[in-house]
Amino acid sequence: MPELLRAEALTTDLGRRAGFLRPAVSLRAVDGVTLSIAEGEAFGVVGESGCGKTTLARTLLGLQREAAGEITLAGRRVSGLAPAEARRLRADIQYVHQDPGAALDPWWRVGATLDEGLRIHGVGDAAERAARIAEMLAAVGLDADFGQRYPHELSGGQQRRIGLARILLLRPKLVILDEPTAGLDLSVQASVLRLLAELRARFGLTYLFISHDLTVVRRVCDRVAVMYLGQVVEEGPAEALFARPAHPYTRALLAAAPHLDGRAAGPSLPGEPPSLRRIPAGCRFHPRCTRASALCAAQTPPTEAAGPAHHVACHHWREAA
Amino acid sequence: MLTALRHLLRDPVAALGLLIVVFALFVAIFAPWIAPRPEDAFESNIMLRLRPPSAEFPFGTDDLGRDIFSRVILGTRSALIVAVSVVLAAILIGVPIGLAAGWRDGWLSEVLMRVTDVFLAVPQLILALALGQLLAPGLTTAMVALALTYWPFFARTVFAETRRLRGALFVDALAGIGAHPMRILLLHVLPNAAPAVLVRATIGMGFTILTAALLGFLGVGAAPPTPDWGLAVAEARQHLPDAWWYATFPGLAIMLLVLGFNLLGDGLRDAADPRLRRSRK
Repeated sequence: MPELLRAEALTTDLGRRAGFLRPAVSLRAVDGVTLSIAEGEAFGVVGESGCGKTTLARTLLGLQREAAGEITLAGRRVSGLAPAEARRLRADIQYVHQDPGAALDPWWRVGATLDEGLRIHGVGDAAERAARIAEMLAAVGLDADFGQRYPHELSGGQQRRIGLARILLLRPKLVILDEPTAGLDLSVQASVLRLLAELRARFGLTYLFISHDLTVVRRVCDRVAVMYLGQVVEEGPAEALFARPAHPYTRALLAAAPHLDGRAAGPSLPGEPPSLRRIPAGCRFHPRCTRASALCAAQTPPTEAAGPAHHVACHHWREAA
Repeated sequence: MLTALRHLLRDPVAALGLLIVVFALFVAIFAPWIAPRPEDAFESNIMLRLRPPSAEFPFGTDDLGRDIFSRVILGTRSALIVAVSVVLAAILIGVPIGLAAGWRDGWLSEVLMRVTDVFLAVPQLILALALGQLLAPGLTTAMVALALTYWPFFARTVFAETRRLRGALFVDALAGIGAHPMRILLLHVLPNAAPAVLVRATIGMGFTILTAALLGFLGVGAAPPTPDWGLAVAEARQHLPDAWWYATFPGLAIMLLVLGFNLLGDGLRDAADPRLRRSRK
């Protein structure tokens, strides 16, 4: 499969520019992330809240300007541009919000919101817009009369379907799904995941799937990257990564996940991830890691191959296995 | 819009406010035909001066023998015209300033909001009195002064709403699909700020009527012999407490209309919000 999106040593700073009597505040939310997503694949990004998943997504979209690094979309360099220009060139990437209900204007009927997206993207013919909207509503499994409703009149699952329809109407190649199943009960979750798989096959989509829910990522994704404090600590094919996690952080995440078959969940990670303002020296995970040694506190671990297309950044990954 | 109206009517207090305002509008439009003695607006009849309320003169007569009932009816129109034009002018100045200042941080926003603060600091009555001295005292001057001192309330309201809305997820989503900032501002932020503006405007109507009456009372508003409620209360002052009806009825008219606008304003705030709509079903 040809490569659709590539990010090379991508770095994003969040914060405010210096102003009058105000020093610049800056947080490095994404620090040297390298990703490669092939066409048609579902690529998962997992990690705890605040690890930079969403910032990574916004940087790839062009809503947040990268501080360093390079982004290539379908072989074309699209980084290093002013935000408006970057967003225009990356129209093939679209983003589905974490809370699709809040992503809809409460004053607009859903149909008008769908119509607006097409208008912005220059579909001038009203009849064509209406036809495409009707077709898309059917594709996401909603009746055509849902267009007449207001966002608050929809259930969580329906809101998610509308959020998807809105984005898919723009005919993107890569869809970034930010926690697409958060806050849904299990049966709705299953139907949303089924729908996502259907749409992917039907429209030939590539997914960048952001989630902290490992069971969901395992079901949907072909490849997975694990992020910790703005860096990718492990990346590999989903099967291999879940079967033989190499990084202690991945292992801890997997152990802490609840099991459906009634086994007790393993011990959860001690403490909260440290603040981005005080990033630990050496390996960023070492203060919470059970295998940390003096080396971990002193030296940033290099990224090593732990299997075919499986990479890990840990000094001790071999011992852990 | 119709749903909003239906919900408004379900709230008895708001419905009462709406009733008062609609009644006042009706009276204002048809005043010359409703008033039993429309000619009394300008003609005096000194033989009938200061008669107490009776079947012939329901609200009594004033010191020039004019029918107070007719004059209260005829005064409705000017009260409403003043209120509507002042509030409209204030909206036209305040809303664009609030939108522009709220959308982006920066020097423009700072300048606009500091200018707003300066205008907010000017006492309404003092500016009106000063303008009245500077220009010719009269209704137009009073209206200019009121509009000049009322727009900052709209600017601040819209500023706060824009600040709140620009961080909303749906604005972010719109930026994400490539919407132009102007589109977001005018088609999404403005309608979402509309309930707050509407509430402000409705309460502002009541407030303006009250202040206009006060200016009339102080002699920088409407000039005699115009049938103006505030002016009538001022003129009645010398005849208190004997001719109690002279001040009472124009005063009651002011109170009723102000109350109507305030009740309606509160009701509108609840009814116009689509999120509250569901919870009230």
